[in-house]
Amino acid sequence: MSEVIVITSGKGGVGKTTASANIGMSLATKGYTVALLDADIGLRNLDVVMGLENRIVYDIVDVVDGNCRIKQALIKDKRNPNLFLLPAAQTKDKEAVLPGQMQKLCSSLKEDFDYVIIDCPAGIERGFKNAISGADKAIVITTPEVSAVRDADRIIGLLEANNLSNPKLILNRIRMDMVNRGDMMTLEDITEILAIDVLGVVPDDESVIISTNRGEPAVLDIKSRAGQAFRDISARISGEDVPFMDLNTKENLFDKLKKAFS
Amino acid sequence: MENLSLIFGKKKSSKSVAKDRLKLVLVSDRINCNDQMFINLKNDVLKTISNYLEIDENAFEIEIINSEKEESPIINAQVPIKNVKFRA
Repeated sequence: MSEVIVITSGKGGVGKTTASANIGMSLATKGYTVALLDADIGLRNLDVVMGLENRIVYDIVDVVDGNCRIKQALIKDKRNPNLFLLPAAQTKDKEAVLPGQMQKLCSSLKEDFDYVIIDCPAGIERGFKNAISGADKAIVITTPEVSAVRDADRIIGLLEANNLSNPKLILNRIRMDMVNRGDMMTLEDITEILAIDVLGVVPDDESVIISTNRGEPAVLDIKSRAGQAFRDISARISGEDVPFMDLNTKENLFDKLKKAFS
Repeated sequence: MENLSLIFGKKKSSKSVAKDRLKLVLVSDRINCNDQMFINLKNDVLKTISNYLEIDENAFEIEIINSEKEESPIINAQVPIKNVKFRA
């Protein structure tokens, strides 16, 4: 059974593209065939995060306009033969792919791939509505900040209004040192407010920036803790029951002392 | 950790402030999504109470706020009564 999953957040800069790249790569590593679809038309970025920016010939707008076939526009990943990218157009605007065209594109991709992962643009306007229109399921990604959680709440409401009920949450960039000193909202705080099932929690990890600098998703770095979190998330997407990782592994004597006082 | 802050007389943790602010802002966000529904609710409440009591419609106020005691938000209505209507 193929699935089209849209990754969305409302707020920009919380990690939609990074999550799309990592989940796509990780599912492909597990042996599934995956198409990554960059729906952020006009602000193409999934290609650079994947390190595939030099291979683009055609884009999503060329496909829906009939300038090429889907197979001509799909870029094969240089590391994993199961993984393909359909890049966004950089010069067109967000109205270039309409909901009906997106639905048609997604159902064509479902014939050839186990998973279609859609990287949604930020915002709640036309670009968002076009991007979600072909999806079967939605993942909402947020960070532990007031602005990002507020936008996530808005997005959850809009997804449900568009028949994408029960979206799953990824909490990105959590810093346990800040959580432990009472300066960052916890997963429990956020799920209490949003009332949503949790797909995973990703620690704030500089290895994500380093791997993105190189155009290599962090899931390929076996030592990356964020990479591990995304590998676990992908396992859960594919139906495995994976326990949540202990984010507090780097506890030192000072942390223990602080705990003893609290 | 918050206990430790209390010992040293420090202010509320920034996380608690964030959570409280978020809860408050989401109450109004979630209501704003349904402006028309809220106007209808207000009119219906006004009409229903008017069947029994003479109320000051101009001073009538209704809002949805966070409850200090309950988990979920509550409807808070201010209904100034002019005269009680006695009916047979």
